Amino acid sequence: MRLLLVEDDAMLGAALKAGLRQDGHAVDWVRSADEAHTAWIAVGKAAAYDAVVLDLGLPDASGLELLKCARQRRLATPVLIATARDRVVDRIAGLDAGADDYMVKPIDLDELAARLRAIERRVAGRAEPAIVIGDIAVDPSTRSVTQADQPVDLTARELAVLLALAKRPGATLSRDQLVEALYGWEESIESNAIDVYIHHLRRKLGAGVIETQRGLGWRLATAGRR
Amino acid sequence: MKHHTWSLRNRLIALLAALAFMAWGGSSVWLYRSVEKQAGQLFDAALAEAAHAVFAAVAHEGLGKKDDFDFEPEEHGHVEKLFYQLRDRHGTIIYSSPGAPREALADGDARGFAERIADGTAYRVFTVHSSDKRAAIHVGQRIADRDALVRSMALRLLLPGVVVVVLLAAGTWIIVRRVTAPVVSFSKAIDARAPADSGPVAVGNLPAELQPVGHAVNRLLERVEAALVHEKTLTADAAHELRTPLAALRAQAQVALRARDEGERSQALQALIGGVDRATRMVETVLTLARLDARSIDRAALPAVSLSQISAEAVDALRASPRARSISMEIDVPALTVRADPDSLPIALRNLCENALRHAASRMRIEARADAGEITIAVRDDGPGMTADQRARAFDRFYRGATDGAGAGLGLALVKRVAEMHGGYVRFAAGLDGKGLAVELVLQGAAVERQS
Repeated sequence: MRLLLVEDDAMLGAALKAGLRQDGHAVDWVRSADEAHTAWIAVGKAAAYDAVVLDLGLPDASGLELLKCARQRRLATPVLIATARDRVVDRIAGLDAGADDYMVKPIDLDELAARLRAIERRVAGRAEPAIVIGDIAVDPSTRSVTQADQPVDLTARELAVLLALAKRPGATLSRDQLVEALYGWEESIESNAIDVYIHHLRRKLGAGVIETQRGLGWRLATAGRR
Repeated sequence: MKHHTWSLRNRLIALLAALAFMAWGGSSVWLYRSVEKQAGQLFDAALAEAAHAVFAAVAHEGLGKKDDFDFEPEEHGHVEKLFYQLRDRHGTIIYSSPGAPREALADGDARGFAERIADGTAYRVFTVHSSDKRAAIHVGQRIADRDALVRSMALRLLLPGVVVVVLLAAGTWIIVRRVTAPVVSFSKAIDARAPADSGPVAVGNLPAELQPVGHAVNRLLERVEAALVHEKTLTADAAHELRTPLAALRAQAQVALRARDEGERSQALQALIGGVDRATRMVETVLTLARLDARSIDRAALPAVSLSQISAEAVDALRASPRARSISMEIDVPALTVRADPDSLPIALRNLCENALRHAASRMRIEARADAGEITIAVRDDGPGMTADQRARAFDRFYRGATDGAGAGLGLALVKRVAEMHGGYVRFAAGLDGKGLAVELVLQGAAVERQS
């Protein structure tokens, strides 16, 4: 998933970003409500974030105001509040302001990952944990991939490409869309990185799994076979 | 120990009832005395009249024929029994009315009214002598009879008073209850409030005398509410500032644990150490503040502290920081010594200088001036300054304003505490070059000496 992390604390922000990246997410980290507004709300529906991890105690404005502002503009991006405010009234206020989930600091990275997976499932309208594409099954919680019940060993990036394609079965994703889904702002990308991952995926899962739409991008072939 | 106080209402009822009772009591005594006096005069007149009447009868009938006029005085309503004694010239009692005592009712030569105990009973007596001294008549009346009569008359007059007093008491009770009802309903309205309800109490229907009380209660409620909100924000801020570093430590530790290669792990562990250092600094600040809270200084026994020296030290301590290279740090402190706490005042100055350095755009300056026994130490910068909202809360503990820095929002709170310890205060002032901010630490009554 591509995530926007809004956390003013330098150290906690760095740790959360590192933890989320370990889970294979592309993370953009901002440290104020103003920056978050620029990166997310100002961009509007075109913003590519799959979810926002939002701290409430921001130096320039309350995270709650930011959230209300986003919902007012009908931005449906799932928001998970991660805050030190632990009172029940705060949780209720957060959820009622439009948050999809609420976590109180200190935050366990594994729990955060699980909650983000839950958000992802809800958004995809899927209840079962595994994603099934033809004879390929991906379990995001264990990050394990099987093909015809045989385990397949994929790197984090390869898995991210596969999941990005699987998220919208049948749709074609451009190189830019894949880069956006895989990388945070400041990460440097080799120009042919995506082609390399596609090549590896074809080698590991079979050449026919991913179709190339010349000039447009790639899509999962399995979607067409159904 | 419970201190018992009477309610105003009960006090009013009791006092008014007591007043009515005392008025009744006083008027009763007065009435009784005047009845006693009036009745006494009436009785005496009746006594004298009876004596003259009997004397006239006896004179007419002649003496010696005592058996002829053995009359019986009629029992009639008011004047109780009168007793007669008739004496001859030798003083011998030649006639007594029935029931009259054996002893003489008066001395032989007595005239007019007298009181006498005869046969153990007290009598009021009137004596009439014939002009030739041949005979005398005593007419007596038992004093006990007279008194009983007075009592029954007085009682009949006083009984309506009792009824009046009872009615008055009842009326007082009702009126006082009615008049004080707004007070009671006001206190009930306050009692009945939910604990979280801090809105004003309805004052409109209170009587004029209670309006100020109602308004005072509402002002108090407002202040309590403000204090409560302040306390809540403080607690929330403290929770946030104390939890965040710990949450960061935990997250970094978890990142290290989940690292898949050595490089990632050592990076996370480096960050973890940085986090521990930062948490340590924060704990140090909290402890310093706690020590300052517990500390009270004897202002009379403070040593002389050189302002220029501690100012220079505060600035020098920052020279090593990376920002010091791009920010010009100026000291404009005259050679002054002040009576101050040598431990806490430097801490306050260092905090002010750190803040100024953090926010300055190009320069910061520490200044001091003394006038009229008041020392003002100002630390100015040319940074972005503070909004009114931020200024209002800047001296609160754990309030961090817009700084994204490593502090826990305790620096200015600490400065404020140091100022207060010295009997002074802190305030904001103009920064440098028409922008930025200055924090001034004002020490009042700190004895100042010019250094030679």
